Amino acid sequence: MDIATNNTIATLLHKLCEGLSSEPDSAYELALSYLTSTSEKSRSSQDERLLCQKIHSKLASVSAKDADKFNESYVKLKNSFVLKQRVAVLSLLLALSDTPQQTESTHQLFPLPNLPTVNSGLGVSASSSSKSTMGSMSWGSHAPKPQGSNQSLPSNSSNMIVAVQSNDRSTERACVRDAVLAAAGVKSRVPVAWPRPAQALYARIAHLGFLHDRLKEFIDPASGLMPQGLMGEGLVSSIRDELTEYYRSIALLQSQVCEGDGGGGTLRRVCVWAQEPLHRLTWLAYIAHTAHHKKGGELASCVHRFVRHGDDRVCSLARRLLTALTYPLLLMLTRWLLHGEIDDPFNEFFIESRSGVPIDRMWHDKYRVREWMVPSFMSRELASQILATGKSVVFMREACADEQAPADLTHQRHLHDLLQPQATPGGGERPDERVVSWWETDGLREGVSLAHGVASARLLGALCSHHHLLDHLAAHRRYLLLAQGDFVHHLMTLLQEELNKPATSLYVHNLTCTLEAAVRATNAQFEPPHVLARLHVNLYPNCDGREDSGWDVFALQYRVDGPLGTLFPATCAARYRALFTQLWRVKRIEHALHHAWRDYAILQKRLKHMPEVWGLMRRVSCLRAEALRLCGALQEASCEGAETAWAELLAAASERRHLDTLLALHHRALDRHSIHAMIHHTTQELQSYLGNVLNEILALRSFETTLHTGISAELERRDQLRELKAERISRGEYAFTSADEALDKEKRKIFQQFLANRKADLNVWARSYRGHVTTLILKLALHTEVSLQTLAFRLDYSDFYKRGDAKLHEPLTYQHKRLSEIGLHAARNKLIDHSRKK
Amino acid sequence: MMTSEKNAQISQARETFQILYQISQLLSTGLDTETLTICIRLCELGVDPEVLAHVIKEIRKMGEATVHDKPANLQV
Repeated sequence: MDIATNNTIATLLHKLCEGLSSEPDSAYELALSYLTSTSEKSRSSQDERLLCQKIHSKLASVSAKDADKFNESYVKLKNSFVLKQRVAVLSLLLALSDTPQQTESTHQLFPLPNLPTVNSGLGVSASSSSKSTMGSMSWGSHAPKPQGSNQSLPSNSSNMIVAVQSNDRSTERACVRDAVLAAAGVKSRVPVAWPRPAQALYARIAHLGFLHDRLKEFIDPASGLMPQGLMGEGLVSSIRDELTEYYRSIALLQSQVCEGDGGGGTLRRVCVWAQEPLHRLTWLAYIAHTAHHKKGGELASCVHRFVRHGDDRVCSLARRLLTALTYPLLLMLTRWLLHGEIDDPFNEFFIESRSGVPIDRMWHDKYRVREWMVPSFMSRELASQILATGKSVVFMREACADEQAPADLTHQRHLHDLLQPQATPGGGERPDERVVSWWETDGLREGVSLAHGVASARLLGALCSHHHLLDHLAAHRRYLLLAQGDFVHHLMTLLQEELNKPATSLYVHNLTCTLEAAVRATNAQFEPPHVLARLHVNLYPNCDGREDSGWDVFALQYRVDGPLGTLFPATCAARYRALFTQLWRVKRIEHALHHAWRDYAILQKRLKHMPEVWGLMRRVSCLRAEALRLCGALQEASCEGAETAWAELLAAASERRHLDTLLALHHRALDRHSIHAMIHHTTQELQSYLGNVLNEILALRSFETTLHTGISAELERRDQLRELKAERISRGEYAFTSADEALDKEKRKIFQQFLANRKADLNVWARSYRGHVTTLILKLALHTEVSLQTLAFRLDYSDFYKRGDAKLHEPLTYQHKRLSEIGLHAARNKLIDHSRKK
Repeated sequence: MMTSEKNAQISQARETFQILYQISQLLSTGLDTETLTICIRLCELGVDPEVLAHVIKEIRKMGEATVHDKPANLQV
């Protein structure tokens, strides 16, 4: 080194020290001492390729992008001739590099075996070619791969001698070039002149070309194999990315193997290199094959199956594909959960919106889950929860006309967090850790349940506060299920005469007036106006042309509209009507019996001088009491049976549970009511028996009316006779002529006959009534519903009917139950024994 | 003729420097443009890069040590 150079170095060093350190002098001294102490040594000239390899692997361990950038920069650098000491600068940069360097051997993704090139004849030393940059061609290295020994060939295999002979070096190079081209999908044919091992190797590499062509075909829109829809496009684009990576690695391979001296580029090396891409392309092609003609969630499920593959490489490949292709799904999902909108031009989303559904059926019919589109990483429950959440949001907006966004945005943030990892794949800090995708985290479930909770609480809040849900529920129960006793009784009293007329002569407006009068007179007047405004009278004439009385067609109606129409749709109204009809009927019969008792009590006082009717009257009275008790028990049962279900419903409503839960509970409450009113589909048999009993009771009422009329007429006659006698005596005439006496006798005889007939009627009636009641009790006791069994017990708690009928002895007794259980048990044991013997 | 050739050379040199600076950033060497320029020139003059790297690291360590020492001195 001459002095001028030394001086320049010194000034530069000084500058450097000034730039770096606060104490430039001491730093300068230090630097000088280092430089002088080592400048004597001969520098070990570094191999450029090795250096590049090191830098590349170092960068690749952090991020594949950086490595690629470095490759580009390096190529440019190589082309510029300004820099003379390229190697020196690069090694300086490497040495100064911040990240701790790992041992180089573990970082070579495709470490090439230390093959001595057999007499290359070009003077390239074995040591320089042994570490060629081929190892840097990590294909698709952006997924951090496990660094295991499985990827490096055992070193003793390196002694294999390549079949290609040294003297046909050029042939081998041609082979290699052909093979690389074949791997890129260029169609070519193996020359027959090649040795067999070379042909075998070539065939193996050329398989890459075949796989490549399959994939190319798959992503080609013209081929028709491409999956449809956005998610399909996601899959195609991610396959395209994989292919691009593949092309890049092919290009690098080509540049290093086929150009220049060819380094260690033998066919066998290319074959070793081809292992990894071969594996990857094979699986890609397989996944693509199974994804043919699928779309949406189906496609996702199909790819998701590969995620569970035991091979780590396949698994990570499938995860990458799945994450790419489910991104549109995630977007749709977030949009649906937050805004209730479906933007699904290709029908890929697992929630379907049906057009032409009226607003009152929106909750039930508008949206539904497409079962086959639910991706396999999502449970059915989750899917239905997602459906419910979006539905609530839509419902809030459409039916409740509530545009105001909720103030609590935590769930929104949570859902947006799900979108985040998509934006920054890799995670930067922990490159070794797998990126956890949205579809496999609990974050999704949490986000959905948060959103679900918020949406349902908001919906129920709106329904309860603005739409008086609880008031309407209570009103249904009070007026349609006759829980408001004073009102019902008063209404019935007022309506009695009107409803006894035939149905054709009834008019709704008259009845409405009566209803209003009943409301004014009872506690119903304290109901809020939005409840009273909905209470109406309606007549439901039968279509079969029967001569109906007003009782048969009259019904109360509670009209709900708006958003609440969802909770009380038309089907629900029909059930309420059926319940009302049945309950009203029992109530009316009870009312009639009470009326009969009143008539009886009035009549009773005038019967002092008519001892011949006492027995009959007493009998009728007893039977009436029996029937009354039956009616009472029936009503009590039908109210009490549904009590718990109603309590649950109200509790759920006040807890702001989800609307679907409320609907289910409401249904359950109605079911309980129906069962106890015996109009449920499981109690059809009972319904007919109950109908018989009720008809009999009505017959008793009309019987009593006839009897009372007859007795009153007779009493009238006798009173008149007495008055006539008194008048005649006052006039001084004979009070009673023989003609009169004969007439009186005749009349009494007729009356006696009348009483005898009635007595016979009553006997017939009593027999048939008891028979019907017995059957009803028997059927009730045999019913599977426990509360109906208890009703049977309640109807006959004093064993009155049981004593009268032997049929009832069996099912009502403890022994019967026990016996039947024992019988079941014995049968089961027998069956078990039988199977054991076999 | 000469000037245009020179211009071309300068622009090429600048380009090369940009590339090197990019690589330096990628490797996060922590060198600013000025220091990098000096280092490249030193290397061009034949200074052993590894020794140079060692020197730079040492100087940096020294700077860190003084920074760390200062609060300790204040406490005493």
